[in-house]
Amino acid sequence: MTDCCQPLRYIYKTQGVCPPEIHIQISGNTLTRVRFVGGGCPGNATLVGRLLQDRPVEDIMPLIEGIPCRDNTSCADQLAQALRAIEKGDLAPAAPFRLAQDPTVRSRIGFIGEVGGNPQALRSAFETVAQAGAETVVCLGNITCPTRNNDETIKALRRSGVNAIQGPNDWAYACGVETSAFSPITASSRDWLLQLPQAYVFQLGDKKCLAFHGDFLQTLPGYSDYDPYALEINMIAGLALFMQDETVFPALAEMTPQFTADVILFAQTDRWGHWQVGGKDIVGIGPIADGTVVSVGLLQDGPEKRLFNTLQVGVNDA
Amino acid sequence: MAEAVKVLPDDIQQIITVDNWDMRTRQGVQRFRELKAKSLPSIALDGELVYESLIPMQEELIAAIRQRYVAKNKD
Repeated sequence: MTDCCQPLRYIYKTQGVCPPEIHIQISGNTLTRVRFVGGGCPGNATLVGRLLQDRPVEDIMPLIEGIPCRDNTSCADQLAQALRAIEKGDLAPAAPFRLAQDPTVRSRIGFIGEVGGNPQALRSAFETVAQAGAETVVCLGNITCPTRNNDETIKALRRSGVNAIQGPNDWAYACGVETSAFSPITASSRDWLLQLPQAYVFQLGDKKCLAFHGDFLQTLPGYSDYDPYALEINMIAGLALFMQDETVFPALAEMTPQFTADVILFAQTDRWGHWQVGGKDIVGIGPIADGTVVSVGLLQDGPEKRLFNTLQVGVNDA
Repeated sequence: MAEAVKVLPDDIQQIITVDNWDMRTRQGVQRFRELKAKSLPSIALDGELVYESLIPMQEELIAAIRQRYVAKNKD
């Protein structure tokens, strides 16, 4: 099925079954991971995933092919179709990180980061961003954190329709590899986190913008230095250490002409900041809450306007 | 910068090994940070950062290489 043992990840869009996606990882001819994502019977799906894990694909096929559940197909049958599509080369490996592209040209966008399971702060942030006239809000991840109310925060984000991307905590939850310090979340929350993109690309006026959380993207299976926007990620994360090492700014300025993006936003350092290097704007999105102060970032287009501002509001019990 | 090394005369090419790091890659960035370089392009000789932000004259680069070669082989 594949020539080498480097794990390859695939995302199959199902037809006629409850889960809209099946996430598959294959090493050589072995199915190393399968997840039915976004619906269906989570208990049965987990059991199927565990039973099939680490088995050769040719052994699995007779077990799953042609099983009906409804509309003459089933989750198992859809998995069989996915494996057939991979075998024939009709399903390409998924990109190492999911890139969401906003189709609308924006003029004012709000940003929040490190929500960390804090639904109260989230509500205050939404009000602040709405009052500032932002067209949309982007959450740069770590929606979740070890100790707070992650399910309630996820519910609030899902209801709000905010564009969210994963941080490393969210990715760990999504993959089911969070440490024991993390509070349990529902299967539905876990699936939602798994389906989130890991980077967000949008247009602000005539500026192309990239937003991502941090360097966990570089650790994702299959990450390549030559992926779209990998140059920006490598330079901001690896070279400039998220703009904490000013001594390398001259080198960064030498590399920025090769960037696709004009504005790059990140959230890893938990600090707010705005730098201009080599004609590019680089923005650090800090945590949504610091004590009783809730902070949001506002990115706006226009010659008379400052590109980036931080808005703060004092709240009780943030 | 790579071109400045590529066009060195044959007798110099025979005594050096050239490693070229691509700054677009994580490996290139790691090497750049190990060398404590600050700007591009940079040339290191025997792991020591010698030229930054400038392409040396060929004679100057040859002299620097020869100086290190002689120092390493004087015994």
